Amino acid sequence: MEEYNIEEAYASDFIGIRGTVKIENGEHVAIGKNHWVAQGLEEIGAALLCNGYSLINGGGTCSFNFYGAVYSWNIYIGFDTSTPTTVGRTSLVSPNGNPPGTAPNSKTYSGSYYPSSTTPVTLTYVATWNAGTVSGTLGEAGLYLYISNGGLANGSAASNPGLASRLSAADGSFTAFTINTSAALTITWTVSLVYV
Amino acid sequence: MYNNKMTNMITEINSGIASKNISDTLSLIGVAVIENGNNKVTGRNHWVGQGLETIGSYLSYTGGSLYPAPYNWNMYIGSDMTTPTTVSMTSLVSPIGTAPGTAPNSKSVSGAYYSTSTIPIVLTFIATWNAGTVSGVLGEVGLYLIMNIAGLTGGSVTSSPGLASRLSVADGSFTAFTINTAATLTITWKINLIYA
Repeated sequence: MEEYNIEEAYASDFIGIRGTVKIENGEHVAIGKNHWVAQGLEEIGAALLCNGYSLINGGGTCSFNFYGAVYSWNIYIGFDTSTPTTVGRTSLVSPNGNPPGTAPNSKTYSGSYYPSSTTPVTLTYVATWNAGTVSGTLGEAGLYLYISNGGLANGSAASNPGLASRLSAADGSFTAFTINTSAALTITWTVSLVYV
Repeated sequence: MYNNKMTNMITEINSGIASKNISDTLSLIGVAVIENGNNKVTGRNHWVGQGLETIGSYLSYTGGSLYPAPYNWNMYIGSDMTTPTTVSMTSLVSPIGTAPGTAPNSKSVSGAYYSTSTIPIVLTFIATWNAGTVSGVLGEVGLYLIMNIAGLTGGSVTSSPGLASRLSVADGSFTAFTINTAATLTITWKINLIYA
C-alpha cells in the first residue's frame, strides 16, 4: 500500500493509523513497525460507536464524555522472541519485571494534530529506563493506551491503560538484543494518522 | 445488485484480516450506497482533513473529555460534478438547499463493535429524503460528524457537525444522476475500521 504525499495528493479514501518504534540503548539502535492488537481498534471503535449515552449497537452504556487514548498510557518491554502478535493479545508475553512490566523512569508525550492541509496527525510517546533499571533480552515492547472497553461494557473506563500495540522480534519487526545495563534504554513510539 | 456490489467491496477490503490476522496499520474506509428509484450507485468516500482531525482527537487529546463521533452527525447532498475532494475542504461545493444543505427527513446510525479477530468495526449511517424534498443533479454527498476541533484548542466542541468525508463524481466515486423527485432518496454510508 503506497502512501500518498499529502502535499501533492487529493483527499484519500483511506485513513491509516500506523506506528513506528525506535529503540535506543547505548550504541544499539533498532527501528520497526508496530502491530495493532484488538484493543487498539477498540479505543477508536468506542469513539465511533458511542452516541454519548449508549452504544449504538445496543451493547451497553458509554460516557457522554470521551477521553483520548493518551489520557493514560505507558510503554513496557519483555523478553519474548518467539510469539507472534495476535489480535486477541492483551499483554506482553514475557514482561520484564512484574506484569505488566517495569515502568519507565520517565516518559513524555507530544502530539500534533491536524494543523494544516499538509500535516498528518502525529503522536510521539517516549519512555526511558535509566541505566541498570532493566536487563536481559529485549524481544518485545508494548504501547499501552487508555482503553475505553470498560466504558463500553459498564459505563466506566478501565482504570489502567491496556495493550494497544506491540513491537516484537517474533513478528520480524526488529532483532532481539541483550540490554546494555550501563546505558539508558529509550523507546520512541510514533503513531501517525496518514492518507494511504 | 447494489448490495452485492457493496458486499463485494467490503469483502475485498476485509480480505486481509483473516489471512494476516493482524497488521501494522489500522485503516478507516467508507463506502456509500445511493438509492433513488431505479438509480443505485456505490462508491468509496474521500476523507478530508477534518475527518482525519476528529479521528485523531480520540488518540491525541490530553485535556479531558471529547464527544464521540455519532453524537452529532448529518448527511448533505450537492450538485457539483467538477471539483475533486481536497484535504482542506470543509463543506460541499454546491449544496442542494441552503448551506450546508437540505437535511434528510430521517436518519439513523447503527454499529457493530469489534468482537472477533475477523470482524472489523462497522458503523452505518443512513439518511433518507422523502420524495420531492430534493431535486436536481446529485454530484456530491457529505458525511458530517461531530468535530472536536474546538475541544482540542479550547475545551469545548463545535456545536454543529463538520464535513468529515465526501463522495463525489469529480473523484470518480460514482456517476452523477438527476434526482427522481417521485422517489425517496436514501444514502447508506458504511465506515469500516479494519486491518489493512
